[in-house]
Amino acid sequence: MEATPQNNEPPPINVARLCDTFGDDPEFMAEMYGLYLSDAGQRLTELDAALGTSDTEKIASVAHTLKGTSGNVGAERMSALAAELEQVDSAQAPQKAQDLATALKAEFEAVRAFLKHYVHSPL
Amino acid sequence: MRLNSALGRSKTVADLRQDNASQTSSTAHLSTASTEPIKELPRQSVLVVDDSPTDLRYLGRLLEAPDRHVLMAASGEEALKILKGVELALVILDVRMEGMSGFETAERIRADECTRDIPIVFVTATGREEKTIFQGYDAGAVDYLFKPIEANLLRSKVKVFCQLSAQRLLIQKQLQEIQAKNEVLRHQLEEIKTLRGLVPICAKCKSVRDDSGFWQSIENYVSEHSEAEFSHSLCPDCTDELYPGLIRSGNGSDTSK
Repeated sequence: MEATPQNNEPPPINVARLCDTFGDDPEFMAEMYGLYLSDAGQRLTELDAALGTSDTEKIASVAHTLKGTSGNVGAERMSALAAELEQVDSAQAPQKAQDLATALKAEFEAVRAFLKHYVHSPL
Repeated sequence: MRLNSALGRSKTVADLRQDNASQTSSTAHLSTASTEPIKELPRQSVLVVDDSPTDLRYLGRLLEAPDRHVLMAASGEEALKILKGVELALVILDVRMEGMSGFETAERIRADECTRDIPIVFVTATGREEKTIFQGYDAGAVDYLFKPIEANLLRSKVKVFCQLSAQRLLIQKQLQEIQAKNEVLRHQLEEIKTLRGLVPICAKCKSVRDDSGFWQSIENYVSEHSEAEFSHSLCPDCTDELYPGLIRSGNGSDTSK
């Protein structure tokens, strides 16, 4: 997957957020992004399971966590999608919840690809 | 009369006054402590509680400072265990956690006499609805922040809470010192009262019975219970008895050596 952004879209991670907060510390950035990929990947797995069992509370809870964590590391589109999912009543609109979960997973792959490129050769 | 002056009562009271004056001076220093910058604040500890490893590391790193310990807990249960053994300046608590929620954790902290005064700042990704925020304040929060965290805002707030905590600890220390001084003064006052009260004295040898029931010479007793010192002299009658041939000078009323 192409790691660099296309069509003038902003990258899936706003790396300036962590840089502005913690300064230029590649080691810490790599640690944070590694933690985020592991953490968010696990949440998406939990989200899949919750969608499978129509566990509306768990769906909202996972979306909530993804929203906050993604926002903190600068994964702004992930955070926005998670915020939207958190607001969806998945019992009333299961398809919408499913679509948002699919979009989240696609965005997560974009984040992963971007970070793979970024961590090895920072912008 | 001589005994009264020998007791040196006024001198002792003056000493007490001097001690009181130095105590007042300490109190004055205490009262200015809150307005003057404190140069050497004790190292403060902050506990961060979040069930997201990413957010926990993020917050932990964000709050690192040379004069601060940052402790981290991945759940409310773990936080309560840590709280038992540490003096904390502040708890940063995620609201929505698996297992024990942030609100429940806060209520437990508030319910424990040892931890109820620790300030709690909630952080959450939940929307900014008033109802949720008030629920946080009801649970004992002193502040409420939203994810994504505004780093400088959180750092500033934590710094203020740590300074307040350090000042509180300094005031406690000064209070303990004042209480210790008061205790010393109280003992000294008790001794003065003993000398002022009824002192059992032997009608024949003039020994005095002390508080423990032991008989001792009046000189020893007075020396132990006051700042008085004795100079040895002979009164005229004893001089005549001991040295019958000695011609006294003047009116012969004093043969101090």
